[in-house]
Amino acid sequence: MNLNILKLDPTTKGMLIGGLAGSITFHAERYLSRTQPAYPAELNQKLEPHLPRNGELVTSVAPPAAMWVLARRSPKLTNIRNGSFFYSIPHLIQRVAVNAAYAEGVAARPAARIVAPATMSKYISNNSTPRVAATSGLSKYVLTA
Amino acid sequence: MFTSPEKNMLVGAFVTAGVDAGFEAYFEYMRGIGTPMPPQFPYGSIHDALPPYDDLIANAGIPLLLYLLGKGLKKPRLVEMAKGGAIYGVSELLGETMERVAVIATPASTARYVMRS
Repeated sequence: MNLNILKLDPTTKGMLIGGLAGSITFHAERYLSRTQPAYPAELNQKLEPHLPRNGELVTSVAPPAAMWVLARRSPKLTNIRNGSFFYSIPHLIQRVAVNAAYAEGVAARPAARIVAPATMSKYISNNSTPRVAATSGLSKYVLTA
Repeated sequence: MFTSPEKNMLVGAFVTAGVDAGFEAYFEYMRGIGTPMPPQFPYGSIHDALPPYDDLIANAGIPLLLYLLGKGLKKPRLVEMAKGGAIYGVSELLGETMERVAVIATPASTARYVMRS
């Protein structure tokens, strides 16, 4: 019985296996980090806010690196190595871009500020003293920076 | 290291990952600012166990688009790029689905985070 319903040639099949191996490694690590309380803290940390977690970095780099070493010994694994590269390297760049976007978003987050009063209070003597603004809450006046 | 068709496949994988990154980066940027995107198109999903629409568009739609363009314009290079994009996309969608199913199947008492869409 032929189970090759997609009619993949051996080259493409090998590449798909390599890509799947990289993906399963990455997502298994992410699943463990999200669900296991005893997951190593080092793998959950980031070297830099713009980079993915250490665990994500390791599981993105390890499969293609391992396949590269293995393929040098056994040329039969070349297609699997290529598939691993086709998934892991673009995906690593994708993860860096996504984490960088989040870090930039956090940096651009507007600080919670109180709006400066529309009219100056006659009690303000100079800029070094706190200014007050009328509010509609419980407090009549709010300190401003 | 790579032959010419393999280089085209790598380009296709990068194109697919680039579109995926665009969707994800916008989602994460908005989350970072403090105004997360609502769980609706393209960031919603049919079912919690399935990847959201943005992943489907990027990882399945882009390789399909490249393939149709390659066949329509009779450009074998685009078909090779579609193949590379499909290897990236299929792997990503299957991995994401497996992770989501595993998170749903995990008892809530051991889960530290809830899966976001």
